[in-house]
Amino acid sequence: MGTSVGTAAETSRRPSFALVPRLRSRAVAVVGILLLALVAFWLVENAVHDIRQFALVSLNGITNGSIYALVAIGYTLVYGILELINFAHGDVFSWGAMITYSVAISWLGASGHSGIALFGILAVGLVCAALFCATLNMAVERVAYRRLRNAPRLAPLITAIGMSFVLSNLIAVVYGFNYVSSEPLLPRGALFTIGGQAYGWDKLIVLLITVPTLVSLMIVVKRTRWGKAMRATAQNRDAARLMGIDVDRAIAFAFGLGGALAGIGGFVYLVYFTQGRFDLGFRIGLFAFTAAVLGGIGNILGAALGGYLIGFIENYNSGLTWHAPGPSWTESLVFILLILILVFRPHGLLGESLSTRS
Amino acid sequence: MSMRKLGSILLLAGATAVLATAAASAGPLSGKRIAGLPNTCSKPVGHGKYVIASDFPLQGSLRPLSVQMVEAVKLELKKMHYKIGKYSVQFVSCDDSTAAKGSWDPQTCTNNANSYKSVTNLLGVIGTYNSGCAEIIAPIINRAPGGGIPMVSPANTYVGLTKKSGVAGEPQKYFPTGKRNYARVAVPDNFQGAADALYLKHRHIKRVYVLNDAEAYGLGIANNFVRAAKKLGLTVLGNSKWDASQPNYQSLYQGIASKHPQAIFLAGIVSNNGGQLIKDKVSVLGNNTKVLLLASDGFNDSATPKDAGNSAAGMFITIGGSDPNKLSNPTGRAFVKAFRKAYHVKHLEAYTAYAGQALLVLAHAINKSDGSRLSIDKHLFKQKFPKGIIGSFKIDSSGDPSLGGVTVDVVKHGNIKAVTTVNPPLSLAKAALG
Amino acid sequence: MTANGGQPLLELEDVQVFYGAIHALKGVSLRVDDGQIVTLIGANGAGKSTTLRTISGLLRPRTGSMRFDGKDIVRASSQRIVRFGIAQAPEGRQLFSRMTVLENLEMGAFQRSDRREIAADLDRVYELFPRLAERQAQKAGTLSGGEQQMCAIGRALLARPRLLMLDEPSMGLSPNLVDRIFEVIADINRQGTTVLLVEQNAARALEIADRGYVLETGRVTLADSAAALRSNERVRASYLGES
Ligand SMILES: Nc1ncnc2c1ncn2[C@@H]1O[C@H](COP(=O)(O)OP(=O)(O)O)[C@@H](O)[C@H]1O
Ligand SMILES: [Mg+2]
Repeated sequence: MGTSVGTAAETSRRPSFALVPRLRSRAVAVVGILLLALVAFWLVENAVHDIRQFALVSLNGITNGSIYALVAIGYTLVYGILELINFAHGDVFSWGAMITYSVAISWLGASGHSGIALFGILAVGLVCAALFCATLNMAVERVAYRRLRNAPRLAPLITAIGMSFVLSNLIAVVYGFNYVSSEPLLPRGALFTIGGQAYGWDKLIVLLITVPTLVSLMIVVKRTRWGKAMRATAQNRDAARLMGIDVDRAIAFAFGLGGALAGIGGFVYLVYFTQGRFDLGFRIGLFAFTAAVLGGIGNILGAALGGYLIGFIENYNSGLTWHAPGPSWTESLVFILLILILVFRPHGLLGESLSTRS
Repeated sequence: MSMRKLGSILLLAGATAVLATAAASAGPLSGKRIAGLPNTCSKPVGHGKYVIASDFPLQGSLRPLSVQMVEAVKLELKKMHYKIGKYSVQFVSCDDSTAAKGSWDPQTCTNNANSYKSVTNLLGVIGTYNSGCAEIIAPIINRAPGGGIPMVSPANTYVGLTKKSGVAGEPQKYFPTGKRNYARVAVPDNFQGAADALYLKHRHIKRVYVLNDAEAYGLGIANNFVRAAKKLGLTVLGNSKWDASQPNYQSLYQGIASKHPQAIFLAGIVSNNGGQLIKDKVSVLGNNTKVLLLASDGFNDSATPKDAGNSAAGMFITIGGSDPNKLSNPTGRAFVKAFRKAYHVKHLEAYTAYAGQALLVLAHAINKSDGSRLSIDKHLFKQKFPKGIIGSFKIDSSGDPSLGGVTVDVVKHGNIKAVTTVNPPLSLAKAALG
Repeated sequence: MTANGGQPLLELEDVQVFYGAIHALKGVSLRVDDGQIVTLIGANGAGKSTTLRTISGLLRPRTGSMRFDGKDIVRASSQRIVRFGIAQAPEGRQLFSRMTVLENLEMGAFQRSDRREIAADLDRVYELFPRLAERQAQKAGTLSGGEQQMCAIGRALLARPRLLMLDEPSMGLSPNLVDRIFEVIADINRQGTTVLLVEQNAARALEIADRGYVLETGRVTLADSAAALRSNERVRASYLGES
């Protein structure tokens, strides 16, 4: 708790993607509970059907979900502070993957190393990706969004879409339109096996990178001076100014932080999935943004939760064998979930509504 | 101030997009553009009143393949001094792909087709590569004002373009006027599906799992394969889709692993995230010796070993027809020799010889016709080529070639090399059709 | 006739402020002497809040000068103005509603790094408002109106300002609480903080103030000692509800 960057004090400014004006009838609640029960039944049935398969696929869900979570937080931070959907964020993530490729694979030749040397190279790659993306995202804010801060909402939104094209096209210019690909970088040896299937070290490493990153982020936002300044700016920009906070810096800080996370996400994507392309950020970005809305936009813990939720959906849907709709339905399912959540909880899973104000 | 700022940013976005596209699509420059054709088409080469166009995906991973097909058509035209019988022709090469997608694009196919309709002196189209694009182009140019524009494809292998496939309305829906204008020299997928199943049987595989990319081509060949495999007594453990936009497929393969397949058959195209699909196959199910990996000709592309890296090692990839580098008939050998000499290449891509042959099929029909499109269309069918580039064959009454040989390739040291040729019996190919 | 005749701490001269095309302040001049309580009274929409927002650097005057402690602050950023020693408890409290009371108070000390002094000031605020001490872990958005006002004043005090600006601190509070707030303001002033108080409750404001200004549609129409204003006919008629 307490990890939200906020959103305005005024109820009128509270973000809510409600599709219907508060359906609070009992019928709706019943339908919601029935749906939940159906999903729960499906999961339990699958678990009983093949518990090992269920465990494996769940572990994949956590791994993929970590990446969505990292990217989702960038959307939530920026939305929380500017009420802007930073469409370019997915492409900042793509840049993270490509920079990792350039630094760790092209320049430092990670594929030819192992042990400490590999660790060192990957660490350099991670830091470069995080720094590059933090800078890139801050530059996007400085160049494209800052002047439009008091313009009508549509202007920064369209600019964000434009920036998304600029960033992904720049990747194409630098790296071409085809995939960059590498041999496995992370050790794939089995950490343990479940029903003959290996749980590889690579998956653990992904968690060892992403989970501490998520935890540190929450600490930064909650405890540090600029983390607090950012939250204050998100909740009430004028009041933040009255506290002597440089809100331009606080906003830049949010973009930098989100960018760094996207960079780390891009790094993890490249070293774990071992490929990248200019349009990588499109689907990942879309899913991550959805994750942020699912969790309650503006709420960091919610964004992370939403990311993991989508990771689970994606993997259960393609890996479970008992009446799974199959991978071609993943996108539909994710958006059906989004719609359901917006119907039943307009502020998202963790987005609290402050209607208790007297 | 905000509008000016916004304007300059959008301008920047636009400029980058244009730059990126321009960088990828700079084509050959000569002559004057032919009126009516979009800028996805090159300026013409040759000279004359009439026009022949080719239509291939010139951007993305298929570019090397497409470029050789264009060159093969040009080579044959050059041999004829750009004269087909009494008609002197110019040639233009059109692109049906976009840089952003890196593969064929439905909207571009539609635009191209509509522009062909407006060129009255267009004698025919050589193309397409992708069956999906042909499905769009064929019915549009079938309704061209002067009669259906003749179209001969060197590479469309989707069955439903010419014969009943199980999809409602096929193949009639591609020919709305009721008069056919389409033939091909590529070996249809039912032959390939049958050959794939037959090859697995040769290798003593009993349990196979099929993955398709849910596009017309992938779904079609998956179904052809499944029918042939069942006929041969193989156990098909499943036939499911892979989602090209998914970041990875580990869960998918873990679900499959519980069924203990001896082989995986991939029916689709590599640009649908095929690299990741192969990487994850190996990481979950083991290398391609442990669980055999066989893919349809949509993977017969240098992008496969490039994107999948070492994971592609030892995987088999079939391709309808014969390996052009190993043609043994005199006409074929002569073509290969001339092509290598003219373009300074050693390795001919899969459909290069077929593209040359496609042009000859069109030329033959033009020669026998009275010059009208309807007459050319009529003569496309029931032609005989005892000394064709790709061997001795006929075009049947639905526009399909009578050759059914399928080449099996293997990925070795990052290259795709031919291993053997499988000739499925006609009965099995028919069974594959369903 | 100034009450104490102290040093001028804040001086505004002919300040004009626009919201787009709306001319909100049409040349405001005022002066706050060190150690005083100065009150700014006027009807709704007169420009009182605009004046405070301009002093805090949230709005830029188009013309005019503003000096604080001898320094020109017309072009100073809001964070520099806070550093110079001006804090504001704005109209409508403007708390960080999803932060706790304690976090809100700490935000007031954003520019300070003297931890021990901050802790002492926090204790002082808790002494002034014991209710805040009880509620320190509660989300500010869930406080009652009076508690929110205490929190806003406390937050401003944590900047340890030389000039505390309060924008309608008594608005919407029960009579008991209004009494308490005015007591506290007088108390804060007695401990050495200069106060610029914007109020609609002119009677109460003029009771504790040394000096007052009457603002009407963006112009200062009266400026005098609080005592003189209290007995001014126009003020009595328009602002003190007497006739
Ligand atoms: N954000 C704003 N945009 C446009 N006009 C404003 C804004 N804020 C205040 N005003 C106008 O400026 C004038 C002064 O307002 P204000 O300073 O809030 O008055 P007061 O605090 O004395 O009630 C009013 O006419 C008001 O309508
Ligand atoms: Mg006011």
